[in-house]
Amino acid sequence: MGFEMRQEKDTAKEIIGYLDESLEQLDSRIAVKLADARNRAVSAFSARTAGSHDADHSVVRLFNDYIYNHRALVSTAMVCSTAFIAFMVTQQFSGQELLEQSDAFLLGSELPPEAFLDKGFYAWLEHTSQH
Amino acid sequence: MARAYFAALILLSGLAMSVAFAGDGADAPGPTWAQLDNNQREVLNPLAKEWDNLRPWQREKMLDIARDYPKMDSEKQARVQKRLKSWSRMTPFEREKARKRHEKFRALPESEKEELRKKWREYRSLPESRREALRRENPDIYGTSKDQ
Repeated sequence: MGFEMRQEKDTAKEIIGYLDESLEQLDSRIAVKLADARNRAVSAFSARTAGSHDADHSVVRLFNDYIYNHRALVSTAMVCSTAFIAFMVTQQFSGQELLEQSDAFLLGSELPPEAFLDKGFYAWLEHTSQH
Repeated sequence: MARAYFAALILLSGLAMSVAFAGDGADAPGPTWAQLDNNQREVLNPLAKEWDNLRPWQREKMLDIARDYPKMDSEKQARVQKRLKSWSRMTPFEREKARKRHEKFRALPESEKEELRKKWREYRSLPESRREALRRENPDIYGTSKDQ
C-alpha cells in the first residue's frame, strides 16, 4: 500500500512539473485566470471536505436554497399542513362534546325527546314552580 | 431528504382536502334495509319494517344514531332502542326543537337536571286526562320566548 501511494505521489509530481513548464509558456493573462480558477476550486474542495461543522452548514445551505427556489409551493404546503393539523387537534378535543350533542345521546338521555316537546309538561313545570 | 419532505407535505395536503370534502352524501337515497350491515340492523331493528319507507334524510339520521350507538353504555343503548320508533316519526321541526332544548338541558347544573327528571316522573304519573288538560291550557310554546 505504501509503495502504491509513493508511486501516485511521484506521478502527481511529474504531472505538476509538466504543467509548470507549460505554464511558463502561457500568456500571462491566461495564467492569472487559471490561477484564479484553481484557487476557487481548492476553496470549494476544502469546504466540502472540512469537518462535520462545515458539512452541516452545507446541508443547511442546500435546504435554504431549495426553500428559497420553491418558496410559493412550500408556503402553500405549510399552510395546508397547519390547517390539517389544526383540524385533527380540534377533532380530538371536541369529539366528545360533539358526540354528546348527537341524536343518539339525545335518545339515550334520562329525559326522553317527548319531555322536550310536551306542552303539558311545561304547564306542569309552571304549576309546580308556583307552589 | 428534500424529496421526502416534499412528498410528506403533498400527502398531508391531500389528506386535508379529502377530509374537507368527504361525507357529503345528503343527496344519496340511502341504503335499503337489505344493504345495512349486521351491526346497523341490530341497532335499528325497531325500524326494520318501516326502514324502506323512510325518506333519505330520515335514514341518514338513523344511520348517525347507529354510528354513535356503540359509544354509549348499555343503559343508554336500551333507551335508544325503546325510543327509536317514536323519534323516527317526529317531524324535522319537532326534532330540531328537541335538540335545542336538550342542549339547554345539558348545560344545566346537575341539581337542576335532577329536579327536571323528578318533575317528568311526576308528570308521567298523572292520569292521561290531567296531562291532556295541561296541554290544552298551555298556549303553543313553539317560537315563543320559552324557546330562547
